[in-house]
Amino acid sequence: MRPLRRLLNLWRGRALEREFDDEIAFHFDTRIDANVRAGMTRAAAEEEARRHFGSVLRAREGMRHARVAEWIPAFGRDLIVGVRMARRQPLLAALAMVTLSLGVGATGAVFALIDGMVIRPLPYRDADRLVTVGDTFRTGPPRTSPTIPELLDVRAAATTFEALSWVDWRDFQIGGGSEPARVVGARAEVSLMRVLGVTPALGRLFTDADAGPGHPVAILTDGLWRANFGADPTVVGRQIVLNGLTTEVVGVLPASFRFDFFSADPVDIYVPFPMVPVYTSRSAEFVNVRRVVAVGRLRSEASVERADAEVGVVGRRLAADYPDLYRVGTDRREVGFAMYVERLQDSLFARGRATATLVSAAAVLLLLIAAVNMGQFLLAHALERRAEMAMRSALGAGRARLARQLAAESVVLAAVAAAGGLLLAEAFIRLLRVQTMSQDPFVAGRIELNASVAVFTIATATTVALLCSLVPLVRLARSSPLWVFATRDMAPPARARYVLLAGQVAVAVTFLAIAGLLVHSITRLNAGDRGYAPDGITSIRLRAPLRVQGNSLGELYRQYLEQLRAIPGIASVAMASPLLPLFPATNFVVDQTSTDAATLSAQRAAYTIVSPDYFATMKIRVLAGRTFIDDDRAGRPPVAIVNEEMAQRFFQGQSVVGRQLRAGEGPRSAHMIIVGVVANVRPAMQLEPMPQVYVSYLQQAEPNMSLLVRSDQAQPIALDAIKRAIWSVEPNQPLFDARPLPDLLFDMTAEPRRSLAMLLGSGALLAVIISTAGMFTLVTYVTARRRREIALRRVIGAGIGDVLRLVSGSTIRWTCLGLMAGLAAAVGGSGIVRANFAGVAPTDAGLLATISFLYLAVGVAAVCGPALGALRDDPAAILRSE
Amino acid sequence: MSIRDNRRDQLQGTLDLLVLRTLSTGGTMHGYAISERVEQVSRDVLRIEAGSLYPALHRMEEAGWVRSEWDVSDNNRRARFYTITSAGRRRLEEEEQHWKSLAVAVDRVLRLA
Repeated sequence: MRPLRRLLNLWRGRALEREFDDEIAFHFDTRIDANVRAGMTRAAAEEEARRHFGSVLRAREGMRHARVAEWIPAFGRDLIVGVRMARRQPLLAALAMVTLSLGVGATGAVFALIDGMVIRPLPYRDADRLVTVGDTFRTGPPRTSPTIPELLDVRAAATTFEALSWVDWRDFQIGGGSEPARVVGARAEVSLMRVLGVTPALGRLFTDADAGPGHPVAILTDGLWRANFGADPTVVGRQIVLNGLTTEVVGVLPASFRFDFFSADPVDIYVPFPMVPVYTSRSAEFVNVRRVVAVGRLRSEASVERADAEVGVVGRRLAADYPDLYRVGTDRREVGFAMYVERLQDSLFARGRATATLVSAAAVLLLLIAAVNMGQFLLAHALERRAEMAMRSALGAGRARLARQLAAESVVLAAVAAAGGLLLAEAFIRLLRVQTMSQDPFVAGRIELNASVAVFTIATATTVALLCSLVPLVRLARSSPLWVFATRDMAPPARARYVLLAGQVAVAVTFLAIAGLLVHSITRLNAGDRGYAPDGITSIRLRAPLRVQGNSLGELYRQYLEQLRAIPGIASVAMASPLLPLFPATNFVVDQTSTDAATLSAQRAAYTIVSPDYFATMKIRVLAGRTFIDDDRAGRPPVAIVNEEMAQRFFQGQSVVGRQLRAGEGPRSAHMIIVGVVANVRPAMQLEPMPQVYVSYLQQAEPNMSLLVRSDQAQPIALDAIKRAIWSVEPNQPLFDARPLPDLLFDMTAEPRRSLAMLLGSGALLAVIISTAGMFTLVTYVTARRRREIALRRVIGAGIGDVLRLVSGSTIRWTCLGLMAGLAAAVGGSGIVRANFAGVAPTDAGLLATISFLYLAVGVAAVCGPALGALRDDPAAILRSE
Repeated sequence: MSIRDNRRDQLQGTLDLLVLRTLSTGGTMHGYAISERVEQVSRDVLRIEAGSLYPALHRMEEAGWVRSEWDVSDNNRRARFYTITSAGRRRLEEEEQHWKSLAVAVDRVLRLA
């Protein structure tokens, strides 16, 4: 408690001083009284008491020292001095701080990623005992899923496993909830939940009896239970319709449970994996179908290595026992089949490992660069303060006292770097989450700024700040305390520093240019005449019920459209698949033209199945002939409509209507008469039109369709009215993804490139800030180092330009080198981006010029600050001071 | 015992020894009484400067060897009175031991060296 009291005494200054005074006064007065009693005069008594007492000052100092934790205010004063130092060069200090915060923040964010992927255990009971089992082939993909018969053999033979289960994913249609829906279902082997250690929120898990045919059961996830069953607590026992089968709900999973790493969408419902011969037997047709994910739980005493060895033995036995399955070709070549066991967590994040390594390397590099910058900043700073340091040293400040001053500054540095680093880490984590969401929603959900990430970030900030502050200490402590004369010992910046700077500039320019092209392409894809009018259209996706097949699909859709047209407020309604041309999906042959293989492979067109009103709903102009009618149905002559692009490129400007064409892949392939020509529409993800073939929805059956509803008012039609109309025809028709078409288009065109542009853009911003800070610190350092030389040159007649050249020449030269390298890389890189993202313009000279100009402007500003500072000094004063 | 062991604390240790010893026999005393008593007992050979005494008293209170409270003195004035604690008595014993062995050692050197 006493140290605490010494701390608290910091705030009791006045009261303490009064106590000391009282005590001293008592001593004095008692002595004087005694002297007077002994016969002295008052004056002599006082004089004797004073002499006898000794130094009052020393007594009070000593008492205070005993009572108060004085090093704290002293350190506080140093802190204030540290902050004041930073305030003297605010721009430079801010740049160095921002750079360091960026480095620390990026490192923190990467740690969050690694924490989510590798360090934090999966959210299941004893997750370190969960493994997966897979196959490898020497020929073919390195790792694939095992087959069910293989897993059954492993289960029978392996002693290291407590349990082994598996799961795969399917689309389901569900009825009997609040509305029919398309859901993602997992077919889980009945022991899966037990392997994962889940306790149901309601009802029960699957039992072995559920695996057989007979009584279909299902378990709802928390999400589906809330969305489609109104969180009904009595849902257990309810009958629902799943893919047309009456199914009993036996349980509801807790909200915390997720096991959908391998499926593209979150799982809504679990059903038992059917243990029927078609899956379990080696003679059945599914014997080589590899689509399940195996999940095993090891016994507590078993290691992954032992399990791997054991399963490896099973694999070799299988290859020997079933040569038919594991040898291929006429020469019965062995395919190098083997089985392996891997920690579930490792296998889950195997896909992300390359990305994680890459971003880790980038973050560490960033941190290093930031630390180098900061070290150089502090060194330049210390150089400028060497006079102050020398003065303090001469006045008797010991090394320790000076070191404490530097340490106080590094505490300021660490505090700022930690605070800034945490803020930026949170920002980077959000970016990482958005970036990983599309590929790996499970990982994305696990990236967060939790306590361990915060601790890591703060520790990194502290360590780096401490190391940075050591730079001037080490560099300067080697020289004599009279640091004033130490300038001559200071080495010029190493070549590596300049190369680093040029590299930063090059990266910044490349990233900026490519991000600019991507952003530009988004604008291009969403502006101008698309050939159709998306405004006012709502798009809704649907998948026809499974029992409706073949030609009756078209009939069902025709009835939907009929009901929808009756809704007041609907201007027109149509169906299409896909709703816009995506890519040239079909070969086609125009009759009476050459059909050699080369021509054929070059002749590709987008293939779109539409209802008659598609063109009217989308406001696509009809250029010749007619659109489809409801009489273009199965049994009538097959008809097609082509677009202008097709007509011009493949019919040499001749009349197209009435000509014949064969198009469609596989079973869809058909000879068709062209009945009309329509205007081009801009495909979803590129600018240039592509040849298009439209066919009638009554002549080509397709279960997945988009419904396009155009409202005749400003407001979209109420979704409820649309659902009621469709359910009046087919009560089990799920409808989903209802969205305004413009929004959908924006996401289709912008989403992938927007996140890439964001990533590149933030990378570029980082590189700009860091390289600017680099230029700034380099010039500051050179200026500080050559202060005397500059003064001398100015005295003998050097002009402003000469001085600027002297201190910033190398920096500017290397910056320009980096700029040119960056421009070259941007031109090369834009080719790669163009290949992956349609609608990206070839290198945009204006954009590159703008970037170069902005960069040079920022660079000149960064360089001029310290260089002009050198000019403000009075050369005579500097020379005199030496 | 090496000489280095107690080089820095030699003087301070001696002062602590004198104060603690005085308090252990004299009971509760104020600073002035302590210094008077030491001077008197040592027949004016040892004089404790107040500038050293008071810091030492405060330091020893922080160390827990003495405790203090404000009270009224014989001449009817407010004074700070110090009392030795049990930790202080233990400390006194150590210091006494230390001093005595040192004195014996120095004496032997004076006689025999």
